[in-house]
Amino acid sequence: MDKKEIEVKVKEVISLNSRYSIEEINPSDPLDKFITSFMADRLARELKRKFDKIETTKMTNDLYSILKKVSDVIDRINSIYNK
Amino acid sequence: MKHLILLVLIFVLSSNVKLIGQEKIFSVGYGKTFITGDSSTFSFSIDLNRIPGRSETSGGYFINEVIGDSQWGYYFKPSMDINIGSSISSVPNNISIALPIGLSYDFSKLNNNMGIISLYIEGAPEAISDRSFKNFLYYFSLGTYIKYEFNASDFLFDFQTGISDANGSRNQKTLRNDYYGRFTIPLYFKITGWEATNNKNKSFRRIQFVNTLKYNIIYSDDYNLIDKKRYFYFNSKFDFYFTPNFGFNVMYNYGNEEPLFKKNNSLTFGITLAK
Repeated sequence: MDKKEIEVKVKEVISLNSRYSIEEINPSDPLDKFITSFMADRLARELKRKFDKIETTKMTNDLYSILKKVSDVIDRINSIYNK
Repeated sequence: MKHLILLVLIFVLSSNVKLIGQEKIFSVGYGKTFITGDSSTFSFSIDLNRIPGRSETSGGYFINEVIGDSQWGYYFKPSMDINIGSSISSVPNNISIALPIGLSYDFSKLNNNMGIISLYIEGAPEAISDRSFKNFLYYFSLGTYIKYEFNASDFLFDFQTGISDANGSRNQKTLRNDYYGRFTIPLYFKITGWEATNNKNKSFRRIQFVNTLKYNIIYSDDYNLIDKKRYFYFNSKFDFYFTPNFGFNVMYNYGNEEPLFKKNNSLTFGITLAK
C-alpha cells in the first residue's frame, strides 16, 4: 500500500466519523477539526479496522498526544507499511 | 510524613503514565466558597484520565484493541484523579485510583451527519480517599455508558451518559468497616469552540465549556457519616486557551461528592496547563 492509498483510506475513516466528506478533508487540517480527543479511542479502533498492521493501543495514545494533523496520521501509517 | 510519601508516589505514578502518551491537565485556582463564608480558598487538581461516566477529558490507555473484524473492542485504562482544596466546601477533596476494563461498540455514523455514538460496558476496582487519608472507599463498579459527538462547522458537542453500580466498603480507620453501595447516573457534556486555527499558528485560541452532573443514590453506607441517601454533584468549568497548552479557567462546584459527601458550593478562578 503506497502513501497515496493510505491517504485515501485515512480520509475515508475520518469522513465516516465526522460530518465532513472525503473531499473536504485536507492533510494539513488539524485532526480535532473532524473528531475530538473525546473520541480518539474510537478513531484508533476505526483506523485499525482499515489498516490491520497498526497497533491500536499505541495509535490511541499517540492520537491524544502527538498526532495533531491528518498528515501526521498518514505519515505514521505510511512508516508502518513502507519501512 | 506518610501523606507526603503518598503524594510523592502519586506524582511518580503520574509521570510514568505520561510515557504511554497520557494527556495531562493540571489546574490550580483561587476562589470563594458560599457555605462557610471563607473569603478565599485554593484548589488544586490533576485530571489524568478519561473513563466513561466521569468528567475527565484526557487519554492514556494500557489497552485499546478491536475484536476481529467486528465493531466491538476492549480496553484497559487505569486512571487517577486528585481534587484538593484548602476548604472542604470548595472542592470534593478526594484522591482516587481506578482500573477500568471494558468492552466498546462503535455504531455507524448517524444519518444526515447527526454525529457518532459509541457504547461502553465496563467494570473497575476503585479506591477513593479523602485528603487526610483517614476515610476510604473501596469498591467494584459496573457500568454502561454511551458517548456521543456532534461536529458542527464552528463547534463540537460531546455528550456522555449511562448508569453505574458500585459495591464495596467504607474504611474509617478507627471505626468498623461499613458496607458501601451506590447507584449513579452521570451526565457529561462539553462544548468546544473558537478553534479558528491550529497550534502551528500563533493566533490559536479556544474555549471549552465542560459540565458534569452526577446523581448518586447511596443504598448502603455509614449513615452516621452521611445524612442523606441521594446526592447531586455538579461541576462546571469554562476554559479559555490562549495557546494549546495554557489557559484561564472559571470553575463552579455544587453538591456532594465521594468519599465524604460534604456540601460544596464554590466559584474558583485559575489557570489550566494542558498537554
